Amino acid sequence: MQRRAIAPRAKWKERARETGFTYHTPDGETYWDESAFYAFSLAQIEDHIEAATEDIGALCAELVNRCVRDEEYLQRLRLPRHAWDLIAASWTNAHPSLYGRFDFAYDGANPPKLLEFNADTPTALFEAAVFQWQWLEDLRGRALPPDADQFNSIHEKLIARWATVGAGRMVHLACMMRSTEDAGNLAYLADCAAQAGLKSQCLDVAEIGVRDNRFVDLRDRDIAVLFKLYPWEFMFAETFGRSPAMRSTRFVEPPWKCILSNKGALALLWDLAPGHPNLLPAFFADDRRAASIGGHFAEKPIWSREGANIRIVENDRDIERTGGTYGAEGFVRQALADIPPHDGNYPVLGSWLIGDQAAGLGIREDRSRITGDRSRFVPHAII
Amino acid sequence: MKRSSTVMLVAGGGAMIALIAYAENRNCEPNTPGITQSSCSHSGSSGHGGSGGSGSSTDSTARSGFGSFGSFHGSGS
Repeated sequence: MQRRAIAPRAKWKERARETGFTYHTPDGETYWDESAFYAFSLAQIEDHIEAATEDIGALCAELVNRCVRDEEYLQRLRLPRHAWDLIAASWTNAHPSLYGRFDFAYDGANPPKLLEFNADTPTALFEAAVFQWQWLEDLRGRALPPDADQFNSIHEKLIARWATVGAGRMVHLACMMRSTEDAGNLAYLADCAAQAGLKSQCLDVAEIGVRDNRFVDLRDRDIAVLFKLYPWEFMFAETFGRSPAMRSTRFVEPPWKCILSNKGALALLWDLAPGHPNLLPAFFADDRRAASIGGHFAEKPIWSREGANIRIVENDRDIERTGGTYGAEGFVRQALADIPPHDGNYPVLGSWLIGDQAAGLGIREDRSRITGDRSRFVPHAII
Repeated sequence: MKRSSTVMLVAGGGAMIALIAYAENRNCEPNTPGITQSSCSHSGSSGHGGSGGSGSSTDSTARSGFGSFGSFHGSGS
């Protein structure tokens, strides 16, 4: 694994405009960054990243299976009591997952280490699946070798998975439309659903209605399948989260995913498989075993997104800390991954799981050890 | 090879552009994918959490029961 400088394509912004990738430079800050790329060997991709993705995916399924049978876990994850039956039923009735993204720390030599699982509302999808692939196609045989490849079958696997998840029904897709990034990810998923032969309709989360104890769209049509790019913990805390309608709509991602998107799952995974080569030691911060991690750790709120409210500690001293509104529900403490920076940049490997299959890679990097919503997306190639 | 085929978008990216335009000017309900803004009436803004749009929703439909937290990316309300 190497970070290599490369000349950006002369017309990349034109390419972005053509494909609808509109959030590449939010507020004038670089998000899509093709002035460099990460080069991997095929063995690194297959033996380390792909294998870790499917292994940890299987371990996560084992964890959910355990959690839905023991309410103590749900309590520990601070999931609201009124949601427990819904969560358990979605697992026992095998409501399918569409996708998720594992974030790994990786040094190119040792097994990747799981930093977190974006199980509920993963984004950075369109740029990983489509724009990154176009970058490779444009540069192959020019600045990249003719046989350069990419770990990327996200697009094909999403289409195939939608066919299973949608099962021929109309799919509604909802997000907070005011976020251009959310709307872009939603539109891409609607495109994939259409290619899977499904009818789809997009709407704002706030436009979802309840009528006769069923969720409906703006035309009062039943919402049978709802893809929601909106966190479960938000939904459970809101008025409609207690509605009987919650039991009549099939959600994507399903309610059981809230177990895995909770950072507390990192501690539960370590409990389930201590010493697993793809896990870092992790405990709930109020667990006395947390002290066994020592003086190098990251502390993360059990519910948080986009790198908010993270604290990095080295040699028992705070070296970085981010602000935010999360943390009231408690924290997990996770050993620091000892990954050296590349030219001063810390890359996080976002490895996509579509259904239960490893599907591709998107890399975000930052000068900080904390990856946030403004960290840059950098393409990759298998050389 | 890790990849088997070329990525194709239904409307060549047009659906994405249209949905984002919709997101920025939420006056009508998009018909994604392949949405065109010409299909929107551009009359009667729904406003945040409102029930506007070109549908036939009735008064007995409750709305705005989700969305009060805004986007988890921080750019929502």
